[in-house]
Amino acid sequence: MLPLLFVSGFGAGGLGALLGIGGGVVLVPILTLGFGLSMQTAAAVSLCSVIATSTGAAATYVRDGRCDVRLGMTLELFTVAGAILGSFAAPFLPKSALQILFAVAMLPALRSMLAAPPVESDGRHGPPQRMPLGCAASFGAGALSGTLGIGGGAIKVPVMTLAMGLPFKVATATSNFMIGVTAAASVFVYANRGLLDLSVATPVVLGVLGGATAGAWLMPRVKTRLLKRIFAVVFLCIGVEMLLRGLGVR
Amino acid sequence: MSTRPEPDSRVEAIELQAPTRDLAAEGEAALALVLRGGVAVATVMLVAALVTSIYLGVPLVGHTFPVNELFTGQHDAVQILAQLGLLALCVTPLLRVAFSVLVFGRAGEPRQAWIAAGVLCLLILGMFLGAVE
Repeated sequence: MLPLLFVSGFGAGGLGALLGIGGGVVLVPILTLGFGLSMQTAAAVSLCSVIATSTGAAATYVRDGRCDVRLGMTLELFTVAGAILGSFAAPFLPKSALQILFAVAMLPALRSMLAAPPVESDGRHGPPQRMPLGCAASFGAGALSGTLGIGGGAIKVPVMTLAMGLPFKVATATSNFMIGVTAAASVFVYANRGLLDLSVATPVVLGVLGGATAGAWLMPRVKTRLLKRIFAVVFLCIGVEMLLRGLGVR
Repeated sequence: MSTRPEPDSRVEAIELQAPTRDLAAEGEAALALVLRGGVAVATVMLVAALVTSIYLGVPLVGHTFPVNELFTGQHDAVQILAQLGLLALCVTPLLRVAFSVLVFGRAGEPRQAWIAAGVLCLLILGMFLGAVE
């Protein structure tokens, strides 16, 4: 099982880097539907993977100055609070509720696969707008992250670009910084409750680190637009499968 | 004719000559090193856990355990290495936030320093909350 887990992590990390998403929406279904792990175990492992990819990429974003650390830190107050709440609630939620919630949470990821590439600005931006909305959305994204083990970037980036007026590259860099901190907020709750499986997390995290590196190298050499359309279909199928399982149809 | 403004005092003369230091930029460069270092340490430990498991034939099993049990002899070397690697990985974002408190404080941004300190407090709270039954 170790090699399979490593390959799964590698694939999730690579896809995350290629598609511009966190690995959680790929990894959690693989671990639950493919390996038969519980949602809580899959979420705990996925959170470690989110930290791995986020921290690895963050060093580049920080050096390049693309990340709005001030805004990210302010929103992080709400995201972390939501993440702690979500991770506390997760063990008490029935499996079906988590599966339905995951299916719903896949919608933003699906949207990000289908959306047209944004028109890039020169990176300059004024003060963020609609801060209350941004803070509320950050709390919700944090709660989802803590409950399901996803990064929440697919929610945070559209909120920062469409509602708060940030340029796309600044929003993605800021989101990348935030998802690592958010995941760290909830992973300790899972770990302290004995839900983080060492035999699963170790090979998966190593795979994700390797895959993210490979994916970042491949990205300029691959037509990501076609890849995104293919994975939009894959995400739709995964979302439907999770929804059907949550509703008890399967 | 000189284009440089004439200093009004000796202090101002020294300030005009001294290069400007962007403390926030210097801090962020050091922060990038912290992040890469955290990932590197975690990777080395996790690889060591897997290699040790394969080399010694000791299966990597079990879940995370309380930190105070690390060196009590209750867990084998493979489990300890894996746990330390995951701990190093998960603590790196906390170090990032702690670092940000210092960077903002030194850069003369007390409001941001307090916000970062608030995030750090929440993160530390989360570290201990899960152990509460």
